[in-house]
Amino acid sequence: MAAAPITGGRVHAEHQPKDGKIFVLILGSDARSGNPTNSRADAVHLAGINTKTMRGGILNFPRDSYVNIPGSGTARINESLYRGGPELAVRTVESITGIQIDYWLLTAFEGFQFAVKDLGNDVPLVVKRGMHDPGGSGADIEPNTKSLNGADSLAFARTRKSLPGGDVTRTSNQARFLIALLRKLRTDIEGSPGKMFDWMAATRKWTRLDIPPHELFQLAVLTSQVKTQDVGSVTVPVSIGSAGAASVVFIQPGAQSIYNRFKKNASL
Amino acid sequence: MTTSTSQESKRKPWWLLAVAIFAVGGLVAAAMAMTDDRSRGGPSPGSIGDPEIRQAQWRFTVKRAPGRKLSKNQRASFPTQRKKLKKMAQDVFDALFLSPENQGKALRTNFTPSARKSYQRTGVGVPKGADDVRIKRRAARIVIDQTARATMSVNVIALGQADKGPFATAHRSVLYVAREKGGWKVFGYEVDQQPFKKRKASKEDDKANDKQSKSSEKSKKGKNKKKRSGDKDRGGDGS
Repeated sequence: MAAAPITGGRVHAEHQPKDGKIFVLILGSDARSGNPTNSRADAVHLAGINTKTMRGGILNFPRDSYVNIPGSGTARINESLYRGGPELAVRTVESITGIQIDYWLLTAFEGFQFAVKDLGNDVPLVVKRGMHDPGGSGADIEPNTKSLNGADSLAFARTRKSLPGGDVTRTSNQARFLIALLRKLRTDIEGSPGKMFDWMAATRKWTRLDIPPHELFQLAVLTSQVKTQDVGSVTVPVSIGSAGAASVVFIQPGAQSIYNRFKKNASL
Repeated sequence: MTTSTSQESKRKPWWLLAVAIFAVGGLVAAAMAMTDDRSRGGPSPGSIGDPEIRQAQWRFTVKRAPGRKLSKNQRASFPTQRKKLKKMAQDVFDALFLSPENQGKALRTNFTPSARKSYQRTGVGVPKGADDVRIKRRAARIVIDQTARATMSVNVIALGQADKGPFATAHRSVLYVAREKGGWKVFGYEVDQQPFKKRKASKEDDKANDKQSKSSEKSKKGKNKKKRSGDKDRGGDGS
């Protein structure tokens, strides 16, 4: 597959989503430009949609989660992308959660920013507390900002140093951003259903997908029919620790019940 | 004379025969014209719309989705696909609101099986025992992407009589359509059907109306003043 700002594909070619449950692994690479697979994943989210109940959920993994990477020992979850591409990242999350993933989507700084720009450059997200991180993400978002443009969106999704919860809060913020994108999709389509194709055009422009267009259309229709209030976002419970010299977070045993619930309902 | 009369009596049946043929021909032509009217969109068998009621015309807006340029084949196929999608909208919604007996067939032809079952369960269309249905508005906005996917937003306003009394319905459906081997099929939808209410004037409209009425009152007063002044003038003239 050619290098592209956003890439995506099907995990199991033969697998068809059963029982109306669809799971998508959303990865955000820290690659500044070029091929996003040659970097670590700063964002790891498992999104689920239940087509029967039309409810959804996003399970967020802090990037420092210290986990077992299949065939590659134990390391931070963000290493899985660097060591084996999105396929290994998918296998890692599958082995942690026991959930069979249907699709993966990988984006990097460039694709993320340009896609937001092409979608109108105004993602409806209220940022009550301002974000200022000139040395890190470059965020300079004023308090009570109600919509984010491409650059601000990227800064919002990257900022961690100026947040009290650090990486864990950042992970939750990334999920908030995904839900805000869903809200925008729904608002756009409510006004004019044909806008669905604007979204698909933006996706096509910045994405290389292994998913056939008709399947992408069906996925987009499905996603647009899930109300934002029916999408729950849960960050896996973690405790701070260290592995050697590296500062990591350990996923708590309580996470297992969350995985089981998510696997059963595809919603949180 | 006898010969002439006998000749006349012999000719008479031929003349009558010609008249009879002409009359039969006329009847056949009239019948054919009637069937033509039906095929042009007149009431179909099982129709609940009174044939004398004039139904609102279909209004279509068809657009091409943004994105990649169409290939030569796609460009050539676009008008055909546009026509097919228009026909789909007409078939489905005319069946739902004007001939419920054909509803099953129309949905079977145009929906995927799961979408059809689910759509039928929503109970959209006219209520039970509907009669004298009058369509006040039927409009469809279609956006086609790469001649293989389309969205269709359809609005219908229907009035009529039903078992429980008169009804007025405002219906909006968004149909998500994909082209498969068997033609265009609806695989997803959103639907919203509510009693039709004439739009109430909002507060802003009220304010605008108040302003208008005040200004019209003023202008009336002005006119009256003018009239009065005219009267005075006239009075002056009269005096």
